[in-house]
Amino acid sequence: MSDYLIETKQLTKIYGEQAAVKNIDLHVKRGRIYGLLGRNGAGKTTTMKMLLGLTQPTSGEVKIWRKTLRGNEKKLLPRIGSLIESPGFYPNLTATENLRIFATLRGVPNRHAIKDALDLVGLPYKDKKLFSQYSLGMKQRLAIALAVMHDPELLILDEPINGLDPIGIAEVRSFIRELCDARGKTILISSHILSEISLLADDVGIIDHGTLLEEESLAELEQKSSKHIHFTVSNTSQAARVLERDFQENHFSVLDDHNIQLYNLTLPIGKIVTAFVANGLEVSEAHSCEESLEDYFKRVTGGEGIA
Amino acid sequence: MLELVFCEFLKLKRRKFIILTIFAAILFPIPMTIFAARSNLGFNWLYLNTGVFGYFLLLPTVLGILSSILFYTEKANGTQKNISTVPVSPASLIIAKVITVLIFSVVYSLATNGATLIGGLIIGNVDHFANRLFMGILISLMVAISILPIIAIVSLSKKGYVFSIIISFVYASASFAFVFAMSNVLSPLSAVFRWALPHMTTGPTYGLDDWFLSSPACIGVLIITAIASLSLSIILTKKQEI
Repeated sequence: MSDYLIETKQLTKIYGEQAAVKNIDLHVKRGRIYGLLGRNGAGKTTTMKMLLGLTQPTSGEVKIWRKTLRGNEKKLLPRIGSLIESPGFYPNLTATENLRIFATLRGVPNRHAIKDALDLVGLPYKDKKLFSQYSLGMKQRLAIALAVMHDPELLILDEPINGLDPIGIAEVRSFIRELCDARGKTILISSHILSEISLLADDVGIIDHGTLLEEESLAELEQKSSKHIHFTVSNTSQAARVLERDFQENHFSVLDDHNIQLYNLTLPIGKIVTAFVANGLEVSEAHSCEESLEDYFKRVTGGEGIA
Repeated sequence: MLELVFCEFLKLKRRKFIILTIFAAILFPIPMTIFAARSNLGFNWLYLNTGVFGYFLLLPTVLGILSSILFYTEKANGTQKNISTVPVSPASLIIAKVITVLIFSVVYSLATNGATLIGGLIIGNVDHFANRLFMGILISLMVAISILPIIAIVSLSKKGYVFSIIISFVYASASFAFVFAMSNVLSPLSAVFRWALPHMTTGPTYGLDDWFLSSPACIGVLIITAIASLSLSIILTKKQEI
């Protein structure tokens, strides 16, 4: 049985002759935070809109809870909370009145749902201030309150920290983490800020020019980008034995039959190569890598743009 | 559907236009009453003239503006995405907004009739008021249905409030002009006008019976208008991307 709560197959959106999203295969695991990372205009919002049925894909398929979204919107969408692009509310109404409209439309049974949602994001209940008088940060908080008000199992949040001050960002981050850890929610979050994704996400997808370039766990990405010595040898099993026996070293990763990464940079590369050769191994490559996570993302996306 | 309509009314909270419109409906019969009192024209004249100008010139424009507020607010404020992810279907949302327009039209009719009744009491010869009140409500509903083509254009337009106000006023004025020119050019609004005139007066019809529209013909025009306008709105709205 697939453990993916969201799964897309070859998801594509073309506007005119411009492909906004190209053949994306996204896999969001149940009970985890998936960070969709990409610079502005990379295709994050279009992808999320397709996941919510707000935009129809040109081709490809969206599956949520293993059901195709198209045709099952009435069953699937009530279980999802979302925040897409800028917060959308009626400017002539207060926060409570705005939430009351959507609580009524959603048929939220909990009478305290509006108050609870506002409390959660630190906005006052039954305040007289109109939405049009709110700061950008308050508007963003209200949008998050709307997304969680009906206690959804899945949250799709497009750049939720936009407009928030540093304290607000930290609050929202810990709140999102708690939703996942304590309440078992699955969360798909997009951002163009690398540090936010690296602080929050369990799994990361890197999107650029509409293409999903990488998709793996944050731990795997960190490992890929951490400082290490990389060896390409004829037999990694034999190389691993040499490292353990001759150097008492076990902090390494065997990537495949020929590639192995060593994370202890204090060991002399020359002595290790000599030991490998002495044990009958052919060494075709040995070099040290000192790439940060940011360097790695820049390399993968082909340049600047992700802070 | 009841919840959707309730939400539509909640969205209109603090909209000054709504209060102003009701005030206009109440204030509009006052100059007519003064004129009728000075010229000894009687309640029939007062009712007919407040009805003709109120229902066929002011009300269609007001309903057009209301429709633009109801429909354009979702686009202007980015709330359509929130509604679509509830999910609420485009058909349900459009029908809820049309029902809101119908209810508002009846409220407008009650306000105008109430003010006309007070004017009649001042003049001193109110007659057939229950019948006239019923006709007023019926006409207001028919006028609301007759502006559904405007609602269809407004719901699909991305040009905002000003465009909606202009086309509502042009539609009402043109229909009004068709009727006053005794033209046979028929718009849904002029059809209601030509049906309603003989029902709004207890006085003579001056040999215009052939020009007036029969009830089946008027109802037919309104049914076709409603089906065509709503179908077009719903089909095209479904195709629009958010």
